[in-house]
Amino acid sequence: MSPRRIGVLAGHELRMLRGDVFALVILLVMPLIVMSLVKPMFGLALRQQGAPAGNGAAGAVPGEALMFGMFVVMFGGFAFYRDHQWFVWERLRTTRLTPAELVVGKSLPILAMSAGQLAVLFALSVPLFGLRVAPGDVPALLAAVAATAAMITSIAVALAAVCRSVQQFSSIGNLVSLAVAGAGGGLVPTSLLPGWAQAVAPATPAYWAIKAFREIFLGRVGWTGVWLPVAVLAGIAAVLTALAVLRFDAAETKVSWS
Amino acid sequence: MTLAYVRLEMVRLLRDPGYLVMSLISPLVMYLVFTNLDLGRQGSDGAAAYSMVGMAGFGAIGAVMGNGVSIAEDKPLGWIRQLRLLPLRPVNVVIGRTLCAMVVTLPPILAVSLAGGLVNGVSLGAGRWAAVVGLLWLGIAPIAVLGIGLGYLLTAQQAQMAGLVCYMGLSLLGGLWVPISTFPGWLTNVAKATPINRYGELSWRITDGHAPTLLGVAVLAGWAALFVAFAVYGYRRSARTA
Repeated sequence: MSPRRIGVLAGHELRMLRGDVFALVILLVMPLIVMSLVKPMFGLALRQQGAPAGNGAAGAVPGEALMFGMFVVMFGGFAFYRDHQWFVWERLRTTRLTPAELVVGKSLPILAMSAGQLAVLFALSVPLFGLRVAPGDVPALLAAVAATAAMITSIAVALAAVCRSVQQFSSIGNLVSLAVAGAGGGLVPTSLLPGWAQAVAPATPAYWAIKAFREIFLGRVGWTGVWLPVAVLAGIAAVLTALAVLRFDAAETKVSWS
Repeated sequence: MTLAYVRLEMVRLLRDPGYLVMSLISPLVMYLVFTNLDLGRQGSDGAAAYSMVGMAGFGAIGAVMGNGVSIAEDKPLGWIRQLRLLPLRPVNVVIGRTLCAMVVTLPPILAVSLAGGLVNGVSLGAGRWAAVVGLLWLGIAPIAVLGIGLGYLLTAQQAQMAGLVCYMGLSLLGGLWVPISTFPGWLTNVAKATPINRYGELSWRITDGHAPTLLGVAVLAGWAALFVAFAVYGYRRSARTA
């Protein structure tokens, strides 16, 4: 695999994503609005679990960051279909890019977009919502951001590998995003969900991401609180990436928006 | 001719899996989850009725935004150009699309209302049930026109994203997910000016035993006029590119 070829493709993809106004609104503006609305509810849920008062941001910020972070799946995945619509995919295949380089080149911008979104939301939440991060916990936070971004990217690539048309991808992607984030405690705290939803929550990747971030923001960095969720997220990302690689067929024609 | 066109468009839209996801599954699941939480309403009965209207409206918005995306998909196919060759006036095409969007909002509205009555024990008289469902259905018309305007004006991917912003953003800001009484003061005033809040308010007032307010209806009518102008502009713009 050539890092230079991957870099050229990834750079092009990032330029394509950069000019998307809708992405800015959905990934950054909307979650900040929602965080301000649900912060009291998350604060109440955390206090019921014995967390100190005034920590609503520690629950609301990770929850909504993940809720809207799942939409990166949509934005990132569309890139695979767009190239077919513009007849660029066949041209890319005639270059020296290998199928593996194609997938990696398409995936890196999704990874960057996801990690960037989480980083910006967390950074803005410090002055806006009083989110607290101890300097010593920054390495743990970076590890959690990287693992979460990898998980989100792997979902996007796996769905793009499986779905032949952009309509399929859009429908399944929307459902997966809402279900994974909602059941994992993205919309409301897991402790407030009905019993059946609480039982399902640990089966969703969002649950582990939210758990890791919440523990970091509450200053409770430890093996079970942070490093176990990070390991679970990395495992999910690895499994989905492997499935995507096995299923991905560069010769398959994808059906984009007509 | 217009009715035949409406039937054709409805069949096409109902075959779209995105319609099923956005307008039926999401709001129904969210409703069943939300009613197990007390999000600032008095008692669980009030919360169940409030959330029922909110999630039925949420599903209806998903349906009309899906209609907008399907319009945007039609443009590159030449379907809109084809329609212009038929003895079907442009106004009939827009009316047909609006009727189509209105019809496909019925399944989510009815599904969530049934869940409210059967699962969560929302108890209303027959007249009030009819009024709630009727207003949820009729009140979505301005939003349906907005979806149509977006479909005519934007590409399919842009319409998908714009629809998502409206679907999530306006639903949240309009109080369909959580009551606007829980919002900060300034945001409550903003929410009251949105078409989605006034749309939900029509039915919320019925569930509370009151008639819709004249101000609420007037605000919604004002937005409707604005969205019609936007849809007409979008249709004219699409004539140059379709």
